[in-house]
Amino acid sequence: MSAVNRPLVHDPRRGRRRGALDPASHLPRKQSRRRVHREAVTGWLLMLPALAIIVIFKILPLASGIRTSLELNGQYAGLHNYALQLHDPIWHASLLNLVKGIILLPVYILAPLVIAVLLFRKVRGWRIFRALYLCSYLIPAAMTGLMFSLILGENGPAAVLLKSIGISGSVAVLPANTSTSMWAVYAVVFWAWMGLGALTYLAGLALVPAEQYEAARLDGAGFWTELRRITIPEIRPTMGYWSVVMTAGLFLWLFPFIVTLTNGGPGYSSMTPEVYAYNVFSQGQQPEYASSLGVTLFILVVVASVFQVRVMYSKANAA
Amino acid sequence: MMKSVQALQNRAISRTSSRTRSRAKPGGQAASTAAWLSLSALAALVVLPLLYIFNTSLKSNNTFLTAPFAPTLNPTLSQLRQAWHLAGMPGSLYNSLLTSIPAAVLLWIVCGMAAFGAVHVRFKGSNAMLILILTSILVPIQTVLFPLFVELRNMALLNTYQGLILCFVTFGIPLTTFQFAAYFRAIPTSLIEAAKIDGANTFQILWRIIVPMSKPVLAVTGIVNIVWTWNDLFLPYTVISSSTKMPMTAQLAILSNQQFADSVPLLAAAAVLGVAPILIIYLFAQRQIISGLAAGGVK
Repeated sequence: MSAVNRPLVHDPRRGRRRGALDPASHLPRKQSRRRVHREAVTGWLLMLPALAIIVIFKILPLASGIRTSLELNGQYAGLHNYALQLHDPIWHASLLNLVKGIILLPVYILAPLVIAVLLFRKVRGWRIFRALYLCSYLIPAAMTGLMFSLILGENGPAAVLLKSIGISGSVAVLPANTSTSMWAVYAVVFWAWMGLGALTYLAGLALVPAEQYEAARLDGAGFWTELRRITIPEIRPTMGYWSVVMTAGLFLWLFPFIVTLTNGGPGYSSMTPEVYAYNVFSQGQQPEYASSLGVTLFILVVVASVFQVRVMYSKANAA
Repeated sequence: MMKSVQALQNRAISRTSSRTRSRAKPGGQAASTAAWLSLSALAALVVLPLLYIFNTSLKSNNTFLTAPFAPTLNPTLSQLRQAWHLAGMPGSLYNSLLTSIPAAVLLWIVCGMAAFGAVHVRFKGSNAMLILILTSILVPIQTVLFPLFVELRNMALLNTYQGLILCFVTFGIPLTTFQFAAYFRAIPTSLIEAAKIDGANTFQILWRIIVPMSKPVLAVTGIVNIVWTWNDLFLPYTVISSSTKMPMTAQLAILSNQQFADSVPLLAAAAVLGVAPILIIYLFAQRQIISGLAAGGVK
């Protein structure tokens, strides 16, 4: 997006002084105008398909979604649907579950970094480890949820194990318990995404100058000092990227895990805003309310993104 | 940026450069052993669930009731066969292929063109248009579900492959365009100017110069888009209503939520079917997938 990418042809002309004193001035200017015009047509044609799709299938639906969210039975109803949200216990539970995820965010961001640092030591078979960890990301999320519904479910190996160490029967089945179901979802999500995180960090680590570590080692720095003093500051751009991905994931990509693991239950103990918005939509009874939930989710996403870009930007400046 | 992508690939694929090799392990043998043990424990955490599911899918209901965790000594394929049948295979596999692959190819074309237009053809407003495309990533599918549904119904695109492909393309555009634009920025403008002076038109420049240089970004975007569209539930659930057109992952997810599936081995078999295609591809294209996904993070 920088000026460096401006086609070079424009630059010499732009720099040249044009005026009445220069007799040939009108000629190149005409040519350049024609050329600029032709370039603009080409440019618009190249961008047209993407723009048309975005406008028709994203911007217009967004506008009409906002309008629908302000209606009731086809009549303008002001903020009626948004007022309903304030008294909807399921929506509150969904938001609270999202907050639980945000509390876990540091774990999602830092754990794969630790894994990547361990992999980066090139212990025997590290390539096999890296390949294995990525499996869990490539598996369709819905299948991961299905798999863990069997593993964590009643009489599954995890429940049997938990019972054997003395945890009472009802609590041992994590997804079937109102106090543990959401944490079970987040644990499964952790399982699914850590491999990709480790791979992402590994790529970033390869770009950190080795001399820094050597110097630290001469000073006798240990594993954690090295991680805190060198790796984390050096790897900030990758960390910023990964935290944006993780935040988007928490807000918007849990649907397939939840649908197959708990389906939002028991009760609505593992409901999240996106799943609830989908459920209200798919029941087809209250499209206006569903739209208002969608718009609220959109606002939350925008706020979170602005916040993150700010944090990343200030970090980039500090580094 | 291109340099970094290349460096990354060399590292990610071979990792034999002397610089990375020379990085000694701090703390010596004991620390290395500890690292190896933790990594192995983590690997077990990834592999054991898969093994359990695979083992369970080979059990009959009776075997499962008597010995749920034991290795299956007399494996039966009946559960897999039943899951295959219930999930409408191989039809649903075709549904996945017929929507995922065209969506990924269209995304290459649409986003590659848009990014090239914005980065190398530069015209008044190109920047604003690029920003519009990129920031549209903030509009989640969940927000536009109802209006999009109505729009697709009016266009008679509901319950069609075209409708689903179009939705995949819509929601894939921002990220894919971003990846293309980041890559194209590293291509020197002088190269394109030189081609223009030689009389090449935009199409020739794209096809003869840009495409051959863009293998890394084509790999990343192709992998990311196929993995995403193959795994997605939201759009298939919204657009497709008949089970004969439902892609595989969505079909298996619906199957698992229905009441007739209280048999654990049958559900395990469904999971095995859903996991198999991606893992088989991964087995053969491991290098490309790992280096492709690794490149996604370093910009």
